[in-house]
Amino acid sequence: MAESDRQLVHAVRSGDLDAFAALVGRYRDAYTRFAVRMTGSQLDADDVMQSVWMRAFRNIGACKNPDRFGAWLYQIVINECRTYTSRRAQRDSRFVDDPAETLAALSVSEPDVALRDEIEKALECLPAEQREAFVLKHVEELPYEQMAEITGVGVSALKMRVCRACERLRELLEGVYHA
Amino acid sequence: MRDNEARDREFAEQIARPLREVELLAPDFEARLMAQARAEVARREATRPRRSWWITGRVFVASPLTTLAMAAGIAVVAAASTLVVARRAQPTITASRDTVEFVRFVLVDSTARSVSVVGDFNGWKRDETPLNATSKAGVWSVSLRLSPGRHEYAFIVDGKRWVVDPASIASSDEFGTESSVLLVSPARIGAS
Repeated sequence: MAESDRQLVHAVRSGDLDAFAALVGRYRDAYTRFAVRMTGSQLDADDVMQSVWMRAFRNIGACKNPDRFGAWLYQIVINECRTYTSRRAQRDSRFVDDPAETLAALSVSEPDVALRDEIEKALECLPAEQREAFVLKHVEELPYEQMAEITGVGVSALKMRVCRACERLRELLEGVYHA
Repeated sequence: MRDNEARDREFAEQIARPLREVELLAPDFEARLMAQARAEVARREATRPRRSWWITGRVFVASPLTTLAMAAGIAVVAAASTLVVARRAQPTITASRDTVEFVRFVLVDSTARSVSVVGDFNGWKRDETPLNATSKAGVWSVSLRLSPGRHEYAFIVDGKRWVVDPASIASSDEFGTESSVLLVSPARIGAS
């Protein structure tokens, strides 16, 4: 029978690397999609997830409820993605809030770009907090209560962020969707 | 209003559907990660400070009848060792099967009306493990039997105040909440 998260977390605390490998195997791709959507690329998401797991390994003692290891790990994923997007925003003007420029790039220089690429680029134009809320709500399909638990943000604020994200996406994708 | 909500939901669904496609990490992700983890463990081992002769491991074997007396004795050794070395290194209380496995938690707080200890060993339940007031004013203590391994704990004073052990190394979780770290490892009693 497979060991529970609690058993594996306790084993990792005792220095058992095999138990750590088992946790990695269990949650390996659980949050990959979120990381890819937040960072905008698989390569960057790979870096983020390496950092996530090393932070989890170093701080496993701080996982106060090992039965809910997955939720604790999700919090680390969200924090690492925030750190990553914040650093990138400082160094990369591509992520500066400039929807007109992005739309021009979509419609002029890449006329045949796939629909999904257009949506991803529009998503990248959103402020990080709106992107995070939109992805958690509509891509990961989490209820607001769970979103509040893992982000540390109140339900009302999250609803507002999702609403604003939808408004912004509607502006950015005008012409692609006519909803 | 309801039409707007329905329209928003439909729009969000249109946007989100293509983004729900499963994403997978590179096939060598685990191998790279485990190499990092192994390197980190090796680094920790290599940089672990040497113990002085007076805090080198000791094994205390005790019968059930003498266990309480031994626990009290260990408390003195552990508390003294911790107080002396905590500024330099992580305190380690060690034990093994067939040896005394009690760890004594002591907090000095002359203003406290009640003290309890919370940690991974009691599910962080604040009412689970109260400390007892000792004959010395302001000194609270309790002895617990702990399994070998790394433990995190904190004291709760007067049912609401979270206090990290001033004589121990602190560790922070994702949200900056500090707790104290205690290592209980087999075969030795001492501090590293």
